[in-house]
Amino acid sequence: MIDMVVNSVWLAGLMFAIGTLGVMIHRHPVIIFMCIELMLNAANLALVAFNRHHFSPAWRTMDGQIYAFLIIVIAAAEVAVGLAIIVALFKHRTRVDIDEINFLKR
Amino acid sequence: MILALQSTLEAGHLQALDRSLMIALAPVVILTIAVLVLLLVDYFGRKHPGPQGGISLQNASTITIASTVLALLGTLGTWGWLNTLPNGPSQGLFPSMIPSASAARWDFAPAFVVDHFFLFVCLLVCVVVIITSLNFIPFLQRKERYHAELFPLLLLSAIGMMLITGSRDLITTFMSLELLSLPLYVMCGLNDKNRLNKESSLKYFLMGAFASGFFVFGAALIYGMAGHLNYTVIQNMIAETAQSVDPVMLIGIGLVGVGIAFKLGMVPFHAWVPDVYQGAPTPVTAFMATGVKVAMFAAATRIVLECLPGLQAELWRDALVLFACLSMLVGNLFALHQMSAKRLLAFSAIAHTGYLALGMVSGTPASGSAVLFYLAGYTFASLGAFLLITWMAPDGQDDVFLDQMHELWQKAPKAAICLTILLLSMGGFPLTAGFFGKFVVFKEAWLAGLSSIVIFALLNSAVSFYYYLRFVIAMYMTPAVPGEASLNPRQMPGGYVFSMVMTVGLTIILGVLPQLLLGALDLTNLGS
Repeated sequence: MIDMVVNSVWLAGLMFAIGTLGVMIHRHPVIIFMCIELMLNAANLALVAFNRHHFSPAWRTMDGQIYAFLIIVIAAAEVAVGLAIIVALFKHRTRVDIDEINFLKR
Repeated sequence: MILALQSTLEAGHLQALDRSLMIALAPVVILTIAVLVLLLVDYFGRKHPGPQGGISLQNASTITIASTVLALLGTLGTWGWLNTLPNGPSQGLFPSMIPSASAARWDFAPAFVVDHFFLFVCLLVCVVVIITSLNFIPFLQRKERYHAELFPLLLLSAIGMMLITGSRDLITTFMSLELLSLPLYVMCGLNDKNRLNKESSLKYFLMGAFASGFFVFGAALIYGMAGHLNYTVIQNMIAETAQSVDPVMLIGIGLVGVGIAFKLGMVPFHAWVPDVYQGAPTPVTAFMATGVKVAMFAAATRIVLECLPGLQAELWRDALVLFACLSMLVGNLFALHQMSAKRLLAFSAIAHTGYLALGMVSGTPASGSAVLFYLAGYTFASLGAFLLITWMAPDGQDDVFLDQMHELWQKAPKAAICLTILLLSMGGFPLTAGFFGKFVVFKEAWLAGLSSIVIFALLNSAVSFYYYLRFVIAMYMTPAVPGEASLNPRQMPGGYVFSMVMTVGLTIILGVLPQLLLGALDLTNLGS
């Protein structure tokens, strides 16, 4: 069982790394946003795996899984706000590229 | 689980969940009710669906200000009430089951604590909300678009700012962090016809979400090592393994630190700050620059003082000092040649993050009150300066540039004097709040044995006078070039006058009589 926990945490670490790298190299806001969601889901996976590790049969502790649910809720709220912002920004544009959003640097 | 809950009830741990809970959380409860009232009145006030109708701007602002004043009074009441409690001046709420040293039983530790530290931040946040909402009306009246939904968002964000300071559990901290950030992303994009607003909103959102990714993954790793996210558990865990903390735990703490540093705008995670501060509508920038900084620094101080004391000092202290020095240096260097007042204040905010971080490094209980004093001084100065920019900005522009400030002294002498005092306070001129803020913060760092770093910080604040005085000199001494687009000093509405009197007055009072606040702040020392 320990092996499974360790493997899941490695997988979560990998997902987190992919997400972070994706945020840094991608130029499309929606894809950046998906990478951020990947980072949050990596944390969820790690939490659930660690919950298995910390599970105590006597008390049936589910803290990690409850944390994961809370994070899912927050991620959903972020999607609602984030997609609205992206749509508002690109309502009158055909191309979507964050390198072109640089009015403030001019 | 059920058994545990029953035994908790019997042991009286949950007694707090009655009337006293409502009293202890008075500011949060009052503001939550106000948000619900605003949203419901707005919804039922509409005759037909659509953007027209609903609550008027004036009513929304009145409800917001009235409820915040009520919350302010409630906070003051709780401040006195805490001292009368038999258990001492802090009230732990929402106990969570935490694993104890012996596996056979479970301990309880509060996931949320109401103490003077929390209440002082509530006071500051209330003042910020009152002053910003007083200034939204004249600002919005100049723009053609109608935005009553702004006020519930403002209050929601303020609730997040309050909750994050009292939180003693990383997941509560994360929830409050999002509660304070999500409304701000929307508020930055207030005017969906203005591309600067929209750009600032997108940048803030992407960076904020990125930061919360770091925070959450760090918290997950800490949960893996400690078995819980309560600060007490984390502190015990670190203390037990003092000399050989698990690397996974260290990575977790580091990632949480990166998440917080992003939100604070510390170098090297500061790239979003100038763009977001400049692009957002100025009253929103004022709220964001002061409120978020107060709340995040208070939360960071609580984490440092209540989670990390057992950790080998050199580990986190060196990292914090390095980030602090980089923030001061980069903030000041980039501020030197800014022409836009909002961008200048953004870079100076980065530099102030560096000074403030020095206050935390000592890790002694007194550093909590030092950070709070600095935050109070910075809040009033920054709030006032941003509001003056709102007021002076020429039509069709939401910013003030250096060459537009020429001869402000002739056009609006009172505004020029106010701005001078506020900028001097930011620089740390004696007899202003900024001076004593810097003094108490640097004293903490000096006592921690960082004398060379304190000298570096002092040199940095000397440099910062260059760019503050550049604006002051432009106001008094430089003649205006004829034909140049110049400022538009409008008739000052009552709200502005009140806010200027408040911010400038408090800046001077705290500078001349700092013991007034320092005495009260003795209560806010965080136990470690």
